[in-house]
Amino acid sequence: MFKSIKWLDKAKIRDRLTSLDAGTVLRYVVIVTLFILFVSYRLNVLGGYVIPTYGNTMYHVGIERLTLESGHYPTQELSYNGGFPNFYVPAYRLLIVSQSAFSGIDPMVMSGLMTIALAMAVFGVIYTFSKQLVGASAAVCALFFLTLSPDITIFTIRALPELLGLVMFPLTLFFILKNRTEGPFQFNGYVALSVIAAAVTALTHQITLLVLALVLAVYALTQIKNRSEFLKAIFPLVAAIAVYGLWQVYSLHTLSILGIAQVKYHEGTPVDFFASAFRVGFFDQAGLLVLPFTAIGLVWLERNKVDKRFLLYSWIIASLLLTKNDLLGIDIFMDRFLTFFIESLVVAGGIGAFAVLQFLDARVGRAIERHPET
Amino acid sequence: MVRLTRNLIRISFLVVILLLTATYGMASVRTQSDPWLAPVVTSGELNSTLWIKANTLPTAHFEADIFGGELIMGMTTRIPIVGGDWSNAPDPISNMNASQQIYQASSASEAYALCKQYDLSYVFVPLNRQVFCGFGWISVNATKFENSEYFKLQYSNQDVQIYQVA
Repeated sequence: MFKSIKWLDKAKIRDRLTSLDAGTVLRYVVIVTLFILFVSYRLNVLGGYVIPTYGNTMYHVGIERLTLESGHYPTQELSYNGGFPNFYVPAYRLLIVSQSAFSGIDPMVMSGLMTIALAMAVFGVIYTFSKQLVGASAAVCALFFLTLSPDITIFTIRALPELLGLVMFPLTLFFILKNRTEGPFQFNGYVALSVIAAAVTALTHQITLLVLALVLAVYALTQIKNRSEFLKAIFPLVAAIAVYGLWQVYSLHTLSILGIAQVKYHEGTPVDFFASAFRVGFFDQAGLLVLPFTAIGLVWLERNKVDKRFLLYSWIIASLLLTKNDLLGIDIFMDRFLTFFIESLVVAGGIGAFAVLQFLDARVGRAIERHPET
Repeated sequence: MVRLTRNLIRISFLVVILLLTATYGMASVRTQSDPWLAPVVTSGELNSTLWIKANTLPTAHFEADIFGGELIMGMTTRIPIVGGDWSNAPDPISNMNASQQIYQASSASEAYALCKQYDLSYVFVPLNRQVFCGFGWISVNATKFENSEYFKLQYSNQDVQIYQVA
């Protein structure tokens, strides 16, 4: 049985290690260094007597504890004096509950542990997506922007469903990206995985679901002449919407979300380039470097006609539209959608940094070849 | 020789980038992110949840601010007047107003009437921090809860007092 698992083959591992070139070794060194920096800061989540409490983290712990104690997911809220149907989707909470039940660790502590684990998963999925789109060097550059992004840091140090969303959403896109079958559409393993990932995303976090749905819709539109690629986007889109619709009918007995407080009271803060009293600053949240490198990355993608680049373009356009939804008069959760926009820029900025490094490396190489004695 | 020189340049460049990332880059990330790691609630408040879990009914309702309420929910599954998900709550703004007024009121009878109106059995009074009921951080006017005609002290430690509504 184990013979079929290639990475357990010791001879192959030895061959791989002995055939590593300097570039590959450097790449691993950078990945490990960035990973240590990324994870070491997130260990602060477990540094206090209680997990960080901003963002309703302990509320989620409450629903998890109630699920563990009662043996079923509650249909009624504990919030705001309780006694009304639960609006929240259950996937993140059930993940914590399952880990708590399995390990016997208190759900509050488990939420902290899973925050670190899911943050690592964000690190992994951004690397995997970028590597699949352009290559390993660009993926390493994306990890650099990920590690230095204040907004991504803020949303990967708190025990929130959005954190699982930050993993599941790019993972869904990865399965579409990885599905490189040419010719007529085939319902293969990658389509099945993208459908499952989309369904889990729908049950993880409503804001993430909106991002996923719009990204997939935009991507489907860009692929309208390519039936196979169009269907690769439509299948997970339909799955996500259907699963969420069924959940909401079960929990709230309606498909409408117009009555919820977030819509009624327009919860959210507008995003501008720089922060002010009533606005979130894009550059404060994203970092100063990512935008110029994104511009370079997009030019590089277009010049090199990278396969499936429209998936990243769709991610950028859809998340930007949602971040600036106040301009469309919607005015809801602009600052929360910003995180997904920044996540897309982390990938695009990584590609831009890779393009710059590739250019510099070629220049240095030519200079050395011209003057080898120096 | 050319290959070695090229690799040395690559290594030097990456070492400089990684050192800058580890020092200036991470310092900037810390400045932005450290406030979000704050526990807000005090250790005494956390300890009080052991008493709440052991001595109150699972259906007990609490006057608390958003952070105290979520701590109570998280550790005990008891029900606070504010905190958690307001999406589908019938009138969350009214709950926020009532919670803030119970903390701010100077009159014990006014606070008591609001507790009765919202079916609250206990009042959670943080002693060493301000409270946030949805409209900004405010100080608690705690002396009124000492009026035993309306409120009975059930538990206290250095950080919190818990009163039962009479």
